[in-house]
Amino acid sequence: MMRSLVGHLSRGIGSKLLAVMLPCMLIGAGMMFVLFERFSEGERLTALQARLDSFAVTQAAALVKPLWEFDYQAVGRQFDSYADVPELQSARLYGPDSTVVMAQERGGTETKTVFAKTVPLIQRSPDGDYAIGRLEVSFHDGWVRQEAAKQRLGGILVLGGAFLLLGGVTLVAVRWLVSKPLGRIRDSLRHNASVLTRDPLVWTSQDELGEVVSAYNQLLAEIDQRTQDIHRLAYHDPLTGLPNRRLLEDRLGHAIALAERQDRAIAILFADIDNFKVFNDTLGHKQGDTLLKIAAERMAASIRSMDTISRWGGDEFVIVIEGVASPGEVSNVAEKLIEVVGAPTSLENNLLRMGMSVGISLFPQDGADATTLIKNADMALFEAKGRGRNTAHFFDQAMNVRALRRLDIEVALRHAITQGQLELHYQPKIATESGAIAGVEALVRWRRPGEGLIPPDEFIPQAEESNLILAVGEWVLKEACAQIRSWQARGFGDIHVAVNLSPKHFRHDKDIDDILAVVEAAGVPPRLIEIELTESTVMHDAEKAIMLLQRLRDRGFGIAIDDFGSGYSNLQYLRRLPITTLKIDRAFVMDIEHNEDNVEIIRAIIAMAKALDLGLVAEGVETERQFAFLRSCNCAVVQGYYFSRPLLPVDLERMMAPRLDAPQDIAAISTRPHGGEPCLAAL
Amino acid sequence: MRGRAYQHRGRAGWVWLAAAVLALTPVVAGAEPAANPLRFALLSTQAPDEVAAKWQPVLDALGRRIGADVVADVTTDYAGAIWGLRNGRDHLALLGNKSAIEAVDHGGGEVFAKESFLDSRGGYFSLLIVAQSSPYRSADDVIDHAATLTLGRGDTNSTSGTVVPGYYLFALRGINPALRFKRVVQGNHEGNILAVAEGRVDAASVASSVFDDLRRSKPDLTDRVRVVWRSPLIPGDPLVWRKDLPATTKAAVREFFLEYGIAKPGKSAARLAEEQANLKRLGSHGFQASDDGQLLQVRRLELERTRLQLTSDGEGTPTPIKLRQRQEIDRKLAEIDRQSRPWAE
Repeated sequence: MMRSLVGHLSRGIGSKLLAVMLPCMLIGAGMMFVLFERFSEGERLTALQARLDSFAVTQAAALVKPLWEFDYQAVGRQFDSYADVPELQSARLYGPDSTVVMAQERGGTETKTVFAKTVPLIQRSPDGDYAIGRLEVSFHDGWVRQEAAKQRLGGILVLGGAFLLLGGVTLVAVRWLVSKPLGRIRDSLRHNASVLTRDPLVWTSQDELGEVVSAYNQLLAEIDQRTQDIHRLAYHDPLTGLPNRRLLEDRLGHAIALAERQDRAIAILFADIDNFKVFNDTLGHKQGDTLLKIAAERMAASIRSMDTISRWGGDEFVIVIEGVASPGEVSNVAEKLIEVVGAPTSLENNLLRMGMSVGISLFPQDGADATTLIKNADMALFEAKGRGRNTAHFFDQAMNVRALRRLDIEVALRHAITQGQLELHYQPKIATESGAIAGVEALVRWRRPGEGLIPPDEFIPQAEESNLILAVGEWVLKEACAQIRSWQARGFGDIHVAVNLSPKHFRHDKDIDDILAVVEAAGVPPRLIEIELTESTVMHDAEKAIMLLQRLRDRGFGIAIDDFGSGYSNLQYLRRLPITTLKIDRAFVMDIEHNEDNVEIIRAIIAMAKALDLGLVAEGVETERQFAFLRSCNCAVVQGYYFSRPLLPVDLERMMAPRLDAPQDIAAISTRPHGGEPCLAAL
Repeated sequence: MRGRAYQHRGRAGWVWLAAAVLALTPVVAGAEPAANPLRFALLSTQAPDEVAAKWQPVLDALGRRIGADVVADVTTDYAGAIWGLRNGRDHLALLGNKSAIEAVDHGGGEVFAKESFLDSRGGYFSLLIVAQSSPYRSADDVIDHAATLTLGRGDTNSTSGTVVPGYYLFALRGINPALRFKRVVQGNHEGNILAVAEGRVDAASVASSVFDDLRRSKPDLTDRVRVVWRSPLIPGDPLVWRKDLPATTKAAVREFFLEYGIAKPGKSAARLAEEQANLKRLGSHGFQASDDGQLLQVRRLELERTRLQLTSDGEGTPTPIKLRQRQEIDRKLAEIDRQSRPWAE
């Protein structure tokens, strides 16, 4: 403890200062003392000599008369008085014949220095001067030394006292003026550094330290301001001023911890403005931002202060409701939010109405942590969107299962291609006039081990999202080419195969190169292959589509527009597109019997195809009446379960085999036992 | 050291002088006065000029007798005569007893003769005088009123002016006059008598020889004073020479003085008359042989006086020096005791 204290003291600036000052003071004082001593000693000795001289002279003068008159009694009296002269070592009066007339002696000369003075005694008389003797006086410096020793002792005491006093005062001054203030500054720095507080230092003195502290306090204030700014930037959305994703996750984490302890429920609302992209596209981003702000303000105003609303990103908001008593209460909150956001908004003379969908997850049943709860709320939102917008939907576990399934498929699909789990089924297209097979549409299927056949609508959307669709499309094309070759080899003749390709195959020139390369490598004449595209694929960037498709068309590929009529085809472009076939959307075909409008539309399409000299295929033909109608309308080719579902090549070959061995009737096909669905034979 | 220079010169001088004396002994006075005169120290018991004037005929005679000039040196104080003798400046001196002691002890002098007095008592006295109008009748009266009085005393080395009254009047009473009297002033005998007469001092100790002399020459002065005390007899003033004086000179000098004023075969009547007239002027009856032994009485007196004074009032506690001085005095007294009977009145 002592050692640490000493160590602490010896490290301080004050101590260093003292360590320099005090020895210097001591040395200076000591040197002054020694110099003074020297000087003083010289003075003393000079004074002693002067006293001796004056003593000897005055005594000699006083002794002349008694000696002259042989008055030894008077001489004796004179010498007696020398006993009172402390410095006198000896006094001797000599007669003219050098005999000692009178003497006063002191002993003990060994430690003393003796100064002697001899004065001749002269009696003046009218007859002349008489040398009547001499006086020898010697002084010793013992008394002077004694006095000097006393004075030196006094001097040392005074010096020591002064040194102690000065040292003490310096110590205290250094402590008060340097060490202590510095210590305070150091403590404040440590304090502010360790606990991240910004307590300014109260300071009164105006010296350099005061200026340092003033600057330090200013710095603290600035750091404080910056920290606040950073915090706001880091944890708040600059547009709406609401807490951002990070802060929300943080608060939700706290809310969960609290709710866990208090055994209470929390609701997480994931809200998304419906079709916000449309607002953005039509009104511009600036107005879109204004709408977001308005929505944020309205929502923030409608919730309790203890609840948290944050902007999750884009047009998404997450609201955390704490202390939830029942799902019904949460439902009310969600409806209230939808209602306030949905209130008419006047924006630049337009009266707008925003729809909003809300997904809700609850703690603790829908998840134990913030990430899960938010993800589940998002999932519920997805569900709400799926169920028509402007509603709220609670999360349930099934959603989760579905979501997991989507994920599972996406992962497994990657392996499916390499491991040969994909297979192509072919649905025949029937020529209306002859009833013969005009070609087939290749449809991809996934035979997953242990699960059986997975329909394309379960995995194609996932493949679309993850670009796996490119690999799938390539595989399909290769497989179709191989099949064509196989059929040719085995005498089935040239069979036209339609292949569905994703819009992602039609983005760059290189995509076309890939297609051409595959077909070329397979050695299949392009005219046997028909590429099917949806309306949206080509209309997304029609000019580009025209250019790319033209390349395919130039090589002889057939190009079909799939699901024609379901989108918004620009007829101007349609005329310019190098297409060969239109495939009427199955929705029109399905409603033929009930919807007169559809009939007219089909007629119009057929007329248009004829006018444009395009081939025509009607899909989804499932009944005889549909087929009869289409035939009556001169729709050249039909396709659907009424004739055949998609078949494995081996099954399809069986259907086509009679042609090879002996001409076979379509009705014969329909007699195939594995049908179970309407067949041509039924006609 | 001891004044070797003058001693040397002195000695050389005396060799020369002795040769001259030897060579010219038969030659009478006036012949070839020496370049180095014989010098005779005299005390100024009176005004120096007067003293010199009174003595000059005697000294001229002495000069003629020894064939050299004799010059009178009248010193203002007694010490001057002693030091003159000691220094070799003076060769002969007429001193008082006290000063002769110092001359003998410290000045290389020797008593060879002493003054005789007219009344044949062989000495003189110390007198304490007061003004005629003074109320005091005795020494005790004066001493009783000392605190209000001014005392005139002689030279420190004056026998009758200082030493004798110092012993009889003061030392024996345990008095230090310097402390007891209002004031003590120092002067020669004649000066002191004049001072008392004029009232400048209230009392004074003077020599009877001088007093008697003045009574003859200035009776109007002496009439104004009155003697209240007279000391025991004091031996006549000694004649002192330097011991190192050549023997022939000594013999001549001694002969001259002892025969002075006395009829001798070959001395003309006129000369005798002249000599006697000179002596009378000096208040002297002539000279008789003497030696250092004459000093014993005054020596003793002085020692006793000093001894008493060392213990008298105002001296305080004995210091080592005083004790030493007393021991010295005791030793000297014992010595004197051995040499002679105590001197008594």
